[in-house]
Amino acid sequence: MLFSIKTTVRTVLKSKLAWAGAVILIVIAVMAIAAPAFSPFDGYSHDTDSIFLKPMSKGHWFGTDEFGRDLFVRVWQGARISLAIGILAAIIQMVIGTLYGGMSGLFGGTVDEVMMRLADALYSIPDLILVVLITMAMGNSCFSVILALSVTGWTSTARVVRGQTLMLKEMDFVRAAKAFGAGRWYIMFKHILPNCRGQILVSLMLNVPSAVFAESTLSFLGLGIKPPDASWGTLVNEGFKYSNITYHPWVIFLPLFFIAITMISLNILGDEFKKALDSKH
Amino acid sequence: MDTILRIKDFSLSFKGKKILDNINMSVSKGEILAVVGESGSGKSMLARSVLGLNSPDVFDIKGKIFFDDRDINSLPEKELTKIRGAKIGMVFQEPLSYLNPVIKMASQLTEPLNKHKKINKRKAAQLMEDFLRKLNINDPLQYMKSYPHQLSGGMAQRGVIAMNSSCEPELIIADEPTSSIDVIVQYSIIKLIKDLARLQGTSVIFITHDLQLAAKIADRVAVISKGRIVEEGDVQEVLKNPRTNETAQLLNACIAERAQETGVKRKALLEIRDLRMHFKSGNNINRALDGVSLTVYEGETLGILGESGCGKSTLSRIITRIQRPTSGKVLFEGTDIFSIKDYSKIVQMIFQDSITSMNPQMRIEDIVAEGIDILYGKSRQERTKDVIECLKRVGLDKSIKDRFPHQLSGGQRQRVGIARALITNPKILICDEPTSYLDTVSQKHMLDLFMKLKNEINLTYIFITHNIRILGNISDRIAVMHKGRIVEIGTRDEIVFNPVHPYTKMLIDASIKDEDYFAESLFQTDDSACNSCGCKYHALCKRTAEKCRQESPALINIEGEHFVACHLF
Repeated sequence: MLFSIKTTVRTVLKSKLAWAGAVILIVIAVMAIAAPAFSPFDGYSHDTDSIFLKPMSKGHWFGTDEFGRDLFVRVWQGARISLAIGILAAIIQMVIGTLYGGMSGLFGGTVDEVMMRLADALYSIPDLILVVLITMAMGNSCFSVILALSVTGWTSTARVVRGQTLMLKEMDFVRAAKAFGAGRWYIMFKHILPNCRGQILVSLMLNVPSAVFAESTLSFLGLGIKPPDASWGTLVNEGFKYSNITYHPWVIFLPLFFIAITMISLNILGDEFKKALDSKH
Repeated sequence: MDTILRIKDFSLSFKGKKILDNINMSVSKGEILAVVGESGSGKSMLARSVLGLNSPDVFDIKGKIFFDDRDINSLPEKELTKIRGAKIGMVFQEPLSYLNPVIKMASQLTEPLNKHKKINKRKAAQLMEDFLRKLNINDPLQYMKSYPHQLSGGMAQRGVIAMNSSCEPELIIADEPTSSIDVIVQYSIIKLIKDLARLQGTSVIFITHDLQLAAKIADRVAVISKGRIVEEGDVQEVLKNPRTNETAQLLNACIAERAQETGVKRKALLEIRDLRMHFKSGNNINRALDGVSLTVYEGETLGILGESGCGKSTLSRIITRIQRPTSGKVLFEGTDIFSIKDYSKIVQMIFQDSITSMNPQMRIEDIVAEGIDILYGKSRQERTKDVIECLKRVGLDKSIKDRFPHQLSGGQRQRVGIARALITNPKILICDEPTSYLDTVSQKHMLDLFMKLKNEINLTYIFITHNIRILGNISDRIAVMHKGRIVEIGTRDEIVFNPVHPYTKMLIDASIKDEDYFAESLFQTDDSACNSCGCKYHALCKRTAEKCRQESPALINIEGEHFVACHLF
């Protein structure tokens, strides 16, 4: 079937859940971009007079943390980094996975066998171990987190694309192109990948939340973003380290809450996309 | 011999215009007389006159027609109805318009028996059943229960013939009974009429425009032109030395048609030498192609006939270089195709399923232009111009180019497939069952298009199909494939009218009986146990000899271009 993003999005938005998810994500994204700039606080400077202020006091909407930094600004700064890393990592995963899977399926035979067993081997090692190893070796930085997540997360996309490729390459339109003497790369980019767009989109949509979550986990463990830069993971980590959950619950729960609703919204959207594309086939 | 029909100085005119002019002719008992003439020559009017269907109120009738020594024109209408159907039967050109579409065959077929011989319905049905069985219709019960539209043209025509001969008439007039039917069924109907004449001693007047067809059936031929009999005599005599211009013209028309069909061959374009393609699946080796050798001549249409799984699609994929064979060679004008650089410009292919053969994400323009994109890379304007021209050539409007494949009908899509193949101006076009997903009308249009293109740009076709009817209509030569081997190859007429290999014979028989052989064969051809030994057909063959089980037969020449691979010849 013809795949067009426009009709797919239209189908997805027929669901109220998907609407809710999309609205929440858009709000979070807009806030992440705009909020820190419009706030009178900067999120970095310490203020010993206002430590652990409760939310909605003295203009601190989300309260303050153990150094008196404004949590409202820090949460949105964290959102920037968390979302950016999540999306970037998912896109890189998509590119690697698509090319790898496409090549594996197109070449077939022994090449396919070897490539897929390699991917299986990578898949069988728990991601977190690899990521921890890579970030430990490369040091804490945005770059190393993205790299670590990209290296481990592409296998599922690769499998999906390979499966599609195996099916598509037996189709007559590929044979017709071969009858014109088309090369492998032409076939891959002109005929096979355009017909995988739906599947690729779905795996991208589902990779974003897992990358966001993986980044948060890493930062929480202290392997991700280095303070004073903030991501949602580091915020939880700091709250966990310096505050008492009984007395200052908001320091921990606010970033956790945003992690949770972002994950839920992204997963809902991803599932709705999947449904929309499945129902078409 | 007794003369059954005598026409004496018969003239017929309508409003002063002469339709038939001074006809003198006679038919004796048991004789088959062919009346040959082009359309408008008055041959059908003659037939109608014999039946007394031309009312004297409208037509101006002179002369006499004696049937059984009684003048048809002087008989009262009441007597005439007794003769029509009982003594003279008439078979028309288009059986489906002759039969009443809302009445089951049973009541239509038994009508003459019921009416003329006063046999009651049940008895008549039984008689008819036996009769149908004699005429090679299997399952006459089912046949009687069906409505005319559920039957194919050939089957319906057979029913009409049965109906007309059920009262054992003395004369049957067949007015172009086979012109709407394909070659193979045509042949079977002719045989049927011939057998009837011999068995029941019925005389037949066979009206046709095809002199060669007349030669196949008739003893004597009368050539009619502009209402006049210009020549009459023994069929072979007339065919060999036509005495008048009109006959010569008719003969030329037939031969010209033939010549066009058979084409000028001899220059070998493609040579396939001992091609083998083996697929391994586990421990089994599937021999999709097991030593195929073929030559394709320039400008011909070579039909490849075989059931699904016989390797015909594999063969087509190797010829188009989509797959590499396990062993063997394909030579184009003497060069191995895998070493020709621009081979894609020479050979192109049309696929069976027009849905899977087009990328659903691409617009028609991009699909058709694919060959240009890959092979040449032209500017945008030139590309669009080429695409529009190609679409026009296959009978599509240029507005179609901005659409997606799923927005077109099956027939349109298949035309797009042809346009895509034609854009590089190939010399050879391989058609892999291009019509099997289409309804009969689109099928006909598609075949006409193939023929039109062939005449326009001198294409050579390799036409792969399981439908022998299609091949009977369009191919010059036919190669019959069975389990990866070619079992018989020859010109169309040799294969259709004189099949030698038992497998070919069965296919042709099935097609004559209007059965779908291949549907049955699916569950009875599993003989994978014997994949390589002996003749692959021996398990199903009725005349298996010991040799068949052990040695695989080679293709041997019978005569001319007719080759067969069978030990029994």
